[in-house]
Amino acid sequence: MRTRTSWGLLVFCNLLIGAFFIWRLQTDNQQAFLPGEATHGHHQIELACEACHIPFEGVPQKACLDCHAEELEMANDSHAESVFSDPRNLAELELLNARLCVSCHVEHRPGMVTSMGVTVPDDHCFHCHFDIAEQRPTHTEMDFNTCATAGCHNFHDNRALYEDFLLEHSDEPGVLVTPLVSKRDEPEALGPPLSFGDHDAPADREVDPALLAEWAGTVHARTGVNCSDCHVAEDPKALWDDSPTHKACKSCHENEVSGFLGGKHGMRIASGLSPMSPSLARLSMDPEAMERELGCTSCHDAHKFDTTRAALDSCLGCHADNHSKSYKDSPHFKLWQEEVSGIGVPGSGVSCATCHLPRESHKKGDDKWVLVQHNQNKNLQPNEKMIRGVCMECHGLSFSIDALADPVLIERNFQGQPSRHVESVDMAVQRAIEDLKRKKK
Amino acid sequence: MLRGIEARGLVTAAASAVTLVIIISLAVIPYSRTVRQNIPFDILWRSGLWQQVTGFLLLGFSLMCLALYFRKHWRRLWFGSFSSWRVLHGILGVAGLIVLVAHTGMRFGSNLNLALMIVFVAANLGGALAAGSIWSRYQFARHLSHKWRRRIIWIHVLILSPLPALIALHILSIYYF
Repeated sequence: MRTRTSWGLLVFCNLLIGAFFIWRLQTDNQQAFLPGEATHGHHQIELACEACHIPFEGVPQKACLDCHAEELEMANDSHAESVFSDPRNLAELELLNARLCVSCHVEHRPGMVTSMGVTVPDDHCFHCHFDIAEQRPTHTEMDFNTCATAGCHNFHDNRALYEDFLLEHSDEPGVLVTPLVSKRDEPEALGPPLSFGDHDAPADREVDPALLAEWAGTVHARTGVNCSDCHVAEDPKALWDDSPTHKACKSCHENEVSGFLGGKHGMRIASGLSPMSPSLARLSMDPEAMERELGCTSCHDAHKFDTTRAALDSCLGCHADNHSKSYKDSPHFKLWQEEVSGIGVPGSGVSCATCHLPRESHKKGDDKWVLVQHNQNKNLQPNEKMIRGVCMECHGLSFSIDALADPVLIERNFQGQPSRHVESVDMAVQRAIEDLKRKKK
Repeated sequence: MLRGIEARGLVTAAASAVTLVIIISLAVIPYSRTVRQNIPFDILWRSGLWQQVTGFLLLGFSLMCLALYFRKHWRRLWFGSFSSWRVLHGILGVAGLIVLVAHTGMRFGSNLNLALMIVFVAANLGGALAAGSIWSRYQFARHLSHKWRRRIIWIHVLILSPLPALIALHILSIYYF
């Protein structure tokens, strides 16, 4: 009898545990199964399991490419899947299957992660490039765990680091002759300019005149964007939405909203989770901002849509790490103040957004179309991704490489000069001279 | 004679289990920072195949440990003395801890995995205490009473009780995700 009771209790206890976990598996919150924290790139969406996992199929390559394919294509990926399709590379693939993202980027293994969310040892290049010193004598004394040292090589994105590019920009000064960022283009106007009295908010709504005045002073009013164009309800039966979301913005700002949803600020919304909030961030944030939620209007304001505020004050309203806190002592901020006050020419100032939400050229027919890239991931890490699209608008290549390779200088928000020199450009020049000599012989 | 062997076996198993439990609880084997290792031990935690090999080996050891219960209650169906089965149980418990090191690298993980690790390690510690209490009966004139030995063994069994569900869920989660 006693044995039966014991067995009964044992079975009941196990069924209870099993039922709890299986119930969690059926809900949106599957945290009970989380085996370890995710990397800095994915921690925001670590509870959106289905964003990466397919039940009983693991993490398919498609899940990674759904978010990162465009970025890899843009980066002219040095180790694209096609590189490994060559049958001569089969032996190397057995050592490291570089065709799959998850071979080098394993999630939920905190102790395995090095920099950039990489989970293979730093000297993994050795597998295929063990004889590099024979091809590049300058590399003889270098260890394989220094390949990805700042300013040398990246596995995917070497747009600013390949030899021809280094040579082409080898003689540039620290600061270029015309250090200006491109002018941002506006979407096409929806109609003729509108003024305060032209607003089309429903008569039964109590409208705050201060909000209307803010709207009347914006580019929205100047380009014919009326109240009803943004306050569009998602429910087709409703005519008005008091709190429109990014979906309303998307009708005119598709590129910007796509970038926002792909970046650190919007990736939670894109994965069906609650909006990102500073309280969920791993970076240092202002304690007073912890409960804020991120959407388009968190930075741009709901009616003012002040891009000057969005480019700086909105960022510093939440971000409180040393780099952010040092900004107002930096030469970049001085330039920004001069531009905003009208002393500096347009495009000469450097705000947070200038570097982290940079202006990018897009093709629109035969024209160039400059838009703000709202996906910070596209030029955040490794930071050499920033060189071509951001730093080189104002600085020479060698100076940019040196500055981004200096973590102390970055933390001080570029107050001062780089403390070390990366020899990438010098090596490229040296090799070119040697090649020339060889050819002459 | 057997009593002497059993006593030595039990105390060795108990001491080894306690040592392993302390090491597992306090240390972590770091992942290798180089691909140029002479012995690529890292493969145990990096390769899905090796994770399955060590995982199912651990499951096998756990099931074999369970055989002691059946030997105790269905003694007519089994061969060998109960004492020798108890020593074997202790050895399998220690072997299980060694495989646990190979399976986890002494990382406890989070949530479900953390619960499983705590239960597994605690159950082994309980087993070591039970083995020690039985050994003390042979070794010392003033040993723990039968009542207390039974209580310790029950604690060992009680800690073990959620293990089947946790192991099943762990295996399910690995293949599900």
